[in-house]
Amino acid sequence: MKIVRTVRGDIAPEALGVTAPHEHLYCDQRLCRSNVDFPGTYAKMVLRDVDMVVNELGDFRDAGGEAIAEMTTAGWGRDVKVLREISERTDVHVIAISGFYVEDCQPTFVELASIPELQKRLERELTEGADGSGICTGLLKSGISRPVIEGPEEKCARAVARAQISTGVAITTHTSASSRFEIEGGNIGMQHLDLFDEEGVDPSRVIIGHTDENGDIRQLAALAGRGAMIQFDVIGKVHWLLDETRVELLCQLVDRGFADRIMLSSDRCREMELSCEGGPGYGHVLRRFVPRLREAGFDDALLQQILVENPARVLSFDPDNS
Amino acid sequence: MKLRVPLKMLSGPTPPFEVSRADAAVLVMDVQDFTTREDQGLGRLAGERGILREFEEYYLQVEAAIRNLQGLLDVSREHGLQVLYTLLHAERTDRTDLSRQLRVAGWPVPARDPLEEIRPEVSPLAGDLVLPRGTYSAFAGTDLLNILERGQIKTLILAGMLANTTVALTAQEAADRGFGVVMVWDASASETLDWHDNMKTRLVGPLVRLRTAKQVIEMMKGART
Repeated sequence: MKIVRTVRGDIAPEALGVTAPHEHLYCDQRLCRSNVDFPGTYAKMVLRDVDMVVNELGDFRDAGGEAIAEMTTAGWGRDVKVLREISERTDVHVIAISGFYVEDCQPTFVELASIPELQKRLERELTEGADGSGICTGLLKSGISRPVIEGPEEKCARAVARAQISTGVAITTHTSASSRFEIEGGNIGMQHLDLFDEEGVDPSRVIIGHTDENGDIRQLAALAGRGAMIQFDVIGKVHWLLDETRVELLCQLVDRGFADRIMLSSDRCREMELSCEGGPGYGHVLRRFVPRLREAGFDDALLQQILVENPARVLSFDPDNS
Repeated sequence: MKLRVPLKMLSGPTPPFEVSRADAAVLVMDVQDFTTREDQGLGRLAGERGILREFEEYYLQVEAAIRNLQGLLDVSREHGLQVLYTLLHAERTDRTDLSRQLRVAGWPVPARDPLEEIRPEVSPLAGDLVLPRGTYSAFAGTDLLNILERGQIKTLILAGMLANTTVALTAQEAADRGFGVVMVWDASASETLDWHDNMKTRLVGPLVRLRTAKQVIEMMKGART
């Protein structure tokens, strides 16, 4: 029987509801080793105020949101107990994640660990609990910061692939926007799928993330054509793409028959992005982007598919049949 | 404010660059007293006008850039890469030999010995080439192009001061002339931090890659692309 593994326990896929599949609720990029000795204006990804996030999720719930896949991996502040507290206080389902973000944010044990050792660790978090908490994660992540998959990031990607095969949970991917002009199609997704294919992963279990940081319908269609999920997950971040462009790209994907491949999210990861600080908040997709989709012709059934059915299908797995 | 870059999204991906001894050279631009010391050159000029505070972000970058450049140069020399220097320099004390643009700008470009003008932390060593110039671009006022072509250089590893002006201009000109450019952004300094981000966004493109000094060192060692 398929289930979705949340921080409050396993639930039926039908109980998940309207889902934001790529958000952060509790993270701290200051923990990463990215030790570039240079001043900068870059605002690190930090969310540490639980009360603030709980309040913000109230708006998400009011807008119709019911579930969030939380993307913070070990290495930059994942705390599954905090995620459970947030979930309990808001009654929003939260799926915690195992896996690895980009090299600078990988936990120190990664450097010396073998692929099988990393795989075992991931499997333990997914089936027994993370960080000694007994709270299980329910999704895997593979992050790539460079224009090619190499070094420790490749090792981690292979461990994630093998943990996917042994557990059945889905993989979600990260590609760094700073590398996008060095990659064909602007996203590492095709290389990710090649690697996962080598490892035997079913591409329909892979969510290619950040595909709306560099718009190219040819790349999006090619990824979907290989069977992967296409995730527009930086909606509202208009320096990469205008939301209007995102709507047009999504219309083209639907026209090409890929409605069952699409998921939507906003990747909130800084206080300045929350509504209490004047940002768009977790409710941006539901409050401002979905109405644009409706104007473009997306009906209730299509939105139900994208916001509810696609996440429920991909984020669920059968723990007894992996 | 982050810049939107729709035109860049139309370009094909940057090809990999070789950074081996046979293919690559390092060009250090304007790491000299004139551009890096608050009490000399541009810093003194800013002080005379009462606007030195405006350059606070610049000099903060300068010190970090010089530290990062030191490490990059050490490893570059270990790997046998040609190291080239260029710096703003007037041959005549009345600066009439400078480009018209620099003369109109009125910058007090130094006329003293170029080797004394370069910051001692990143001093040239035997075998390095030093190319003084009186222009913004390193290609406009020097024999740089001939040197690179004679050396069969395909990749230029570029770092330096006034990065959003002289270095950026040189990077774009190098790319336009067919060289692969690795812009070492944390070994460079722009007039403000916003301009530094802007410079990076502006430069990245078909033949220009952005890398940190640490990443370039990893490329030289063959550990990373």
